[in-house]
Amino acid sequence: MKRRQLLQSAAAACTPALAAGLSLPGLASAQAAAGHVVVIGGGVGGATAAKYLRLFNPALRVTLIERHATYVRPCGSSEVLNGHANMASLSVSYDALRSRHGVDVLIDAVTGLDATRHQVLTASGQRVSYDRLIVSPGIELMYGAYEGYSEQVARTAMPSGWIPGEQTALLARQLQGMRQGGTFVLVAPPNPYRCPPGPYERAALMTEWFSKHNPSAKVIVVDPKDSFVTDETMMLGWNRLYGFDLPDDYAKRMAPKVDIKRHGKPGMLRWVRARDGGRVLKVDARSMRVETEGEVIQADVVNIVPPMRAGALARTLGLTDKTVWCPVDRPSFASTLLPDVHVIGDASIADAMPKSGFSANTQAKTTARAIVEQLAGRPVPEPVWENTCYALAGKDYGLFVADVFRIVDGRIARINGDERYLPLDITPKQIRLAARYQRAWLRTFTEDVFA
Amino acid sequence: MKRAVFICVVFISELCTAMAAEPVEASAGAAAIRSDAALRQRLAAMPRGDTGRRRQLYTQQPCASCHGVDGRAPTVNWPSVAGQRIEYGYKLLQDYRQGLRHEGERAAVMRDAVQGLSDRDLSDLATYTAQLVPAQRSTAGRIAGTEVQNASVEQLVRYGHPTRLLTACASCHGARGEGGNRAQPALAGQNPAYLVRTLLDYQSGARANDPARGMRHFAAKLSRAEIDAPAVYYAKLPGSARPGSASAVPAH
Amino acid sequence: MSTRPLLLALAGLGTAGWLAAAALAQSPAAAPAPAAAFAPVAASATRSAAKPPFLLPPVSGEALAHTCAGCHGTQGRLGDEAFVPLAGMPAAPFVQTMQDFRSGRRPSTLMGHITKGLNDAELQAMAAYFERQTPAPKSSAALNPLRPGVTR
Repeated sequence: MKRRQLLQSAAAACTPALAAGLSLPGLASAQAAAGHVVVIGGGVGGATAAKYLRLFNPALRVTLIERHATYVRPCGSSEVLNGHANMASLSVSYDALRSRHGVDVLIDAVTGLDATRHQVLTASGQRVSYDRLIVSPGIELMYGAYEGYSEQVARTAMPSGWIPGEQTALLARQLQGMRQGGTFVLVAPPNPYRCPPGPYERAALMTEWFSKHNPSAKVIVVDPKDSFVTDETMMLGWNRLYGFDLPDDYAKRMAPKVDIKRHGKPGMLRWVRARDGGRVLKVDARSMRVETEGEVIQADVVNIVPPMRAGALARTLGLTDKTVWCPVDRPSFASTLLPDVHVIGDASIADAMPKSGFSANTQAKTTARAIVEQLAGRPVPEPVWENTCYALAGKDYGLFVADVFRIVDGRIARINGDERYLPLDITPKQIRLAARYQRAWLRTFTEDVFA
Repeated sequence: MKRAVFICVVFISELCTAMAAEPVEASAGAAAIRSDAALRQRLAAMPRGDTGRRRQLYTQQPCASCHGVDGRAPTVNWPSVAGQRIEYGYKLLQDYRQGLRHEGERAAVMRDAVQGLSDRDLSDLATYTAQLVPAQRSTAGRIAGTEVQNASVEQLVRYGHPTRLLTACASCHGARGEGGNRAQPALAGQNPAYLVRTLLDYQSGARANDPARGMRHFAAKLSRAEIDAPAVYYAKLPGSARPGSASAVPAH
Repeated sequence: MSTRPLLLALAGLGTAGWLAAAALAQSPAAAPAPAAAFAPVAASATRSAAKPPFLLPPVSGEALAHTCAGCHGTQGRLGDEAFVPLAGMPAAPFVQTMQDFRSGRRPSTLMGHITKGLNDAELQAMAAYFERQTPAPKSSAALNPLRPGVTR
């Protein structure tokens, strides 16, 4: 009688432990029956996938393998540059994934994959077996794309910081220490790239900061593109806040909807588009010169957002095709190259979905659901995705992109109408509220991914 | 009669205690804003608004988005504003604009919402919402069967508590929850979750814009049941609109 | 170095390939013509809205609800935040509010844009999901003394 009671109370005590991912012998076989899903990559995509796999089926064992012990979030990282945030505030811990959601977090680097045996090989020599594998490797910055640029140059003279870390801190120091009247050049990337409004938000926030602390500074965005996601709303903000004159084609098509100021003289911020010679040919870190098709710019601070491709791990594991991104089957984001492996986030080829944290987050959820259903022998349900990101043109000037995606005729397409952005004729009050929502969104989004 | 006298004595002594207990504020300005005298001055200085632009203001600012086109909050997340007393609406909006309400993220949204609005704008908004017709029954929830208003809640709300020195809610908020002459808000028909949240915020001090700490002093003594029950009581009282009147502005 | 021109060429080729494939993803929604933003949705090579939402296969309410979590909290659970918590919200006001966003009767920043991708059946399904969720402790729904299931 006593022993039974003891076992019962032990079982009762262990149920939370079970939920936390630890297993007792009898329960381990129940978990094994439910399955083991391994997630490689502890960024937005991987963390969301690990959490939601556990939410959808608490009997599943989920292991997240990530190289770094903490995550530095790129969302909002430009706010370190203008002092509105510090590097510490960008750090996110994996603790809640472990303790609240029962994810086994393994801090280790992945070195290889045995797709036949369904095993992941790690730097510390482990062979981690999986029933299904989700790979969310993010992006690799192609420093070598510009003559004169390299990872070494990025670390020391012309930081990128597009994957945040030391380079972000270096760039912040350079920008805030720039001499009065200096020139800040931001090299925007070609499509496709992570976080489409990001470079322009960065330029805007620095222009705002310089307006107060370095009023004779210049900010030049050189661009291999002629347009960008959120361009109309972002540039309307520049027009209102920084004396920026819209390019003629934009001014013409926006004028019927909203009053646009014609400032007549150059403001602090310049956007040099491809058609005006904005494509970069080479950079020289020693002389701090940026040579574009149109001109040679002498800069004091240079921030380069280089071309990108799927994270190197995707190549190592054999998940990329000749486009250097990862082809996937859309309903489940299963790799078309390896069985029982799924690829999500920036690295995946997702048609109309921009490469963003929010896209990765919703892809992780549909993929987690697909895997849970497949492991249970049920059909993969119809997916839906979103990309709903806020951005800033200034501390109190918020804007956004709002997309809903479905599979239409075999490809992922936007289905929520023509309007993606903050309407041009929105009131100043709603612009201010949008900035408030941007701050709130950074908090709630981070929590949905990691907590 | 004796009871009425007793209530008055209790009330006055409560008020004196509350005022005496007001701590020395770091800024004399803040203390001034929170005193009864200052409130009377603010209300006396309230501009008379313009009928024509009021609805436009309410929709554009964008109050209607959260508080409902008709001033009735669509969910329990926000208070209803329909039929609220003009002076209270004006005081409340001024408090937000001056940063006197900061009890959380939602207060921060309200502070953003009223940034840059003039006293005339605030008066217009308060006047507009006053003449909106409130819901006649709280939409916050239905209970199976009939609900009997608990006799002890009635007692607390209308008469207070003599030995615990609890002021009757009705003494400031009106016998029918219609509010009072010194900008005490109408409570009848209000979202009960909002009333609960408000009393909890006063209890914790997260909300501190009550004149002479009156509400904080009162809320400090309440148990959770004594917060929930009056909230339900008031939610079920029928509210009424107050078209066009700024009649309760006190004499100078 | 000899590899650099090769890398540049590859990058160039790669870029061209990506640009073609990614035109849908990265190009802004508004086409050059000023009236485009007011024109009804039309299928075209660059327009990605090819089929009206109601002709697509149904998605579960739960799957739709998870797309909201980035702002409205996992399973709609939020404490004190600028966004409204959805967990425990009764279905009828949820549907009405979303329809009001979609029609523009209720002004919004981005909810109007999101709801244009949702049909009534989907709104009902989402509403049913959120109504079932337990609200977070500090949310208004949890504080509401008239919430369903509370005995008095």
